[in-house]
Amino acid sequence: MSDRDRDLEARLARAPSEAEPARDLWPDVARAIAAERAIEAQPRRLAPRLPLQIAAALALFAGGILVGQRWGEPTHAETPPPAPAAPLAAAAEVQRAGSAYVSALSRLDESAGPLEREQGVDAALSTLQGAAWELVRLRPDDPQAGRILYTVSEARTDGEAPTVRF
Amino acid sequence: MHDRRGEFEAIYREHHRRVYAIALRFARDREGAEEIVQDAFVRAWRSLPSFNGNSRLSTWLHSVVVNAALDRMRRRSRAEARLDREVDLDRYADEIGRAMPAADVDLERAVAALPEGAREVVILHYFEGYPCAEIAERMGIVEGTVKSQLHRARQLLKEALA
Repeated sequence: MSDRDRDLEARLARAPSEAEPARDLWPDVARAIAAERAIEAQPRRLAPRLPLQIAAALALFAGGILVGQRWGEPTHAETPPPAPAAPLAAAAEVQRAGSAYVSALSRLDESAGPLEREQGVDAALSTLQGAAWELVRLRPDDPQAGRILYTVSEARTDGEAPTVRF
Repeated sequence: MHDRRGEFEAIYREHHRRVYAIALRFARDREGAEEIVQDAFVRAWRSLPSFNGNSRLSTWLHSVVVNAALDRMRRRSRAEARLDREVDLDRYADEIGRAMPAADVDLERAVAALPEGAREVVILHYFEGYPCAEIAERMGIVEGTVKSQLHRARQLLKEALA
């Protein structure tokens, strides 16, 4: 063994075995465990049918967008509900972002090549998972939100049992 | 359930720095490391009832986090290959300097720059103390491949640190 080998081995052996996270990660871990328990309480399906589940999740997501649309942009025939302006603005923002998401997905199918399409689907699932997480965060006791999150997370892990993340 | 959660928080508090160190070296960025930590502790929570006490809790938890990190590496490798994403080594070196003040940042940076397979075996063998046979089993490769990866890694590290 040369001096350089010995020096390298010594430097590797001195490497610290602990590192301090930049923030306290326990609240995230605790929330993930709580969500895991909520998801475990859901009835499990017997066979994997990912495309149908993704479609169902997308439909639910799009449904949420439509609800947001109704809240955010009342028709001329309707009287706007006497709600404060801030919630309407929030719903309208969600609706705008959701519409842009759906539009981008439909363009993906029309114009992208196979690689771009795959990257787009990857990004779409990632975004959908982020949206599902936010739903769970907003409504931690809602079993539908937990089910959407589980389905999308499973799709992202190629059918493996997903892990809850915050 | 609250008692069990309280006990688990105590486990987290005792071991999270060790877990974060492993996670950071595998992920090479703060966000990825935080994901691995969370994943590892959720896995540990899930399988804690089956922990039989034959090994030390720290050894068992260590194994859980290594599995979580390796699983993430496999998933990320596919995704990153598709997206052609590069790791920001400057940012990683900053995080190492912050999170491990006693670390040899040049060495950590050189390890982080190793090719994927070589990097993983260096982390597991030199930083985590796993013997080659166990690394082979965990990574699903033959022991000879682990040894050749280590040899290659040592050469590359010597060149990088010269």
